[in-house]
Amino acid sequence: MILLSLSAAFAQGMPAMHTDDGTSHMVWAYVATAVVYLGYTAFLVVRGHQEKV
Amino acid sequence: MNKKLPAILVVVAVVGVLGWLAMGSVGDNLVYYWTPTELHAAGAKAGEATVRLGGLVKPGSVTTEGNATLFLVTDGKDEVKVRTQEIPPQMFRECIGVVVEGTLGDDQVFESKKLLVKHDENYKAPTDSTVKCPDMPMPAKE
Amino acid sequence: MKGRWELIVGAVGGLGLLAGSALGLWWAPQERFMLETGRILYVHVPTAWLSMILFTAAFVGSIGWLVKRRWGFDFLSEASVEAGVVLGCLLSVQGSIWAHWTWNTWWAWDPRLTSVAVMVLSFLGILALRSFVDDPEKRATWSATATIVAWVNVPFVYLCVKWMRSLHQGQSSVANIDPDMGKVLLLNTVAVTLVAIYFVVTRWRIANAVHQREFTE
Repeated sequence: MILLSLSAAFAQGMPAMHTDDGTSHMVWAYVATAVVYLGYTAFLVVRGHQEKV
Repeated sequence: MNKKLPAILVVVAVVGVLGWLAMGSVGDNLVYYWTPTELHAAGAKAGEATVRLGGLVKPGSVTTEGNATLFLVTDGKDEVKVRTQEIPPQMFRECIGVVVEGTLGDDQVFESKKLLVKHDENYKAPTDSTVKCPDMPMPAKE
Repeated sequence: MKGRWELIVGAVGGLGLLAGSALGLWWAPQERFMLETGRILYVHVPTAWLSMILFTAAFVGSIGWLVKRRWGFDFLSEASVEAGVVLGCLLSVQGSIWAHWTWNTWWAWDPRLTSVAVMVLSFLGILALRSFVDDPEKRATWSATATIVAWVNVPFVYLCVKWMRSLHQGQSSVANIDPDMGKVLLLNTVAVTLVAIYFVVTRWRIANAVHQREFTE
């Protein structure tokens, strides 16, 4: 289901206004959220490893 | 304790007071949108400039005229007729808050160039039947 | 790994955020007017909260440094500003996507969006300031002073929708949010708080390690 929504969102990009139930906007917002939280965690893990914390 | 503490407190207090005053004056002089009452009170001045008009879409007032959509924006006391060539966004409906950017014409119809939806802070399930049309959805905060 | 308690906090927070988001996507009801975009609430609101709390932690760290001159306060400030900027940028992206569907615009210069932009950019500037100053004491003092000045905007970000006319809606309370939506929002808020603790503690340790290195070289 997630993969389906994701691939649909990536395939179509942002849909035209007022024709949809907002699924792809919602998916984009969650993708952005996942990228930032996971990305910053990865940054901290790498930096922490470098600095031997 | 550090002997710099009083100096720091003074800096914080001064910055705080200045910030407060600055924001207060912004609040008084710069409003994001005018209410229908304010737009009418501005009279001829309002006809010259692009302004934002905010209010509630009056129930039963939405009509179409060719490609244009017409509706009344009300603040509970006064109302302004708005015409837009845009296809209204999905959230647009009767009783919802809107902010329209445009100009009040000589015919007293507000020509909207951009129609923004201002929804409220209610988050409800579709089964919630407490949909109501408040008298004054967007209180005229100064 | 020994003594790194924040790893457990972060793991619990991460799992909580995953569970809360899954509940928000599949269990919680669709919002009656915002439809699927209403689910952005569960990640947007906690991100907003935590960015403001992180900037407030940086404010506390800055006062601590100026008063006590203990390095731990400077590390707290550095860690919190950085994590706050990361969440603040995400906040703007989430909000922009949400606004495009609901408000019919990607951006509006209303009081809330403008003050958030000022908040994120001012703390981004403080991160830049830190990178320009080589002397650790000067870096700590200057960035602490700048953080205190920049923080004055944070309460305004929170309260402006109450004080001023804006396009952004006001704060929701228990009364105007669906009970199931409220539970998911609460879960994600707690989870993001734990994740933010992990961010700050880990970043604090990195700042500490860098500091030790700077002083031994």
